[in-house]
Amino acid sequence: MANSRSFTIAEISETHNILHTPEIASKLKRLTIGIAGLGGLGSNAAVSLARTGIGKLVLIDFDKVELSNLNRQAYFLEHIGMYKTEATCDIIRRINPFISIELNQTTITAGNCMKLFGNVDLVIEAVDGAETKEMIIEAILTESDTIPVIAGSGMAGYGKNSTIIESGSGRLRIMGDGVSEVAPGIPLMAPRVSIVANMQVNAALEILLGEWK
Amino acid sequence: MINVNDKPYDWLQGMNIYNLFKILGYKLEKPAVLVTINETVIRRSEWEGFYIPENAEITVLNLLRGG
Repeated sequence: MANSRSFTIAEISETHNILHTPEIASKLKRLTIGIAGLGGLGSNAAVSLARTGIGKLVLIDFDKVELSNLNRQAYFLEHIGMYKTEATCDIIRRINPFISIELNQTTITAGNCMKLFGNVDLVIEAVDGAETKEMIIEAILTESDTIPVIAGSGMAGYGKNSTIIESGSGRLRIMGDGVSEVAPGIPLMAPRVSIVANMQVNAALEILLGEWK
Repeated sequence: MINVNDKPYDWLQGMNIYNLFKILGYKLEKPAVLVTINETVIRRSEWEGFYIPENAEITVLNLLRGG
């Protein structure tokens, strides 16, 4: 039976203080992360960031949840037909109702990219199309002097754990194996997509919080 | 000399990114590629007119569909 008790922001904050240390919890609460696309990478990254206690998320996706998304994306059957922004928001609210969330159901273009993400501390690139990935990374890294981008590239299929790596440097990091592109017979599946999504979040924390000592 | 994905290549005065791809035998089969020179992303629209400096550290990254 579901627990119907409401939890206060103080209770959730104190739990993060205990589990993550007050220093890390306090830093995370002040951060804003943008997620470009809420498919397999973005929806799982959003959930992971919510569990860390991130202060604010900016979630951008034009699409609605379909049954075919549930093999790898964080959604539930009840979300089918909803905008992915709203469905992701619903999941996050069940984990931590006090995270500030900005939603936008729009297509990301070279023209609006910096308007959407201009006020974030870091962007997680989580779109499906390769050309859109290039456009988002180019726009943010050339139009901003400070915002890092964590991208995903090469996560189709299953197995080959040791091939999934982090590449790039400075403000650009890319997670994935760099070769496994989705194609007929090479599907996107939950394990590798979730691994890459969580590597993106892990790299984001490392950049924003500093290296773990 | 320049380094491309950590491998050394000869530098030629006036070489742009398309010239570099020719030297690398890179056919741009994949539609999405990121090029960084000394940690700065060079937009595709600037590839023709951007002259690669000597001793440049260059990264060429293929971006693959899926997310």
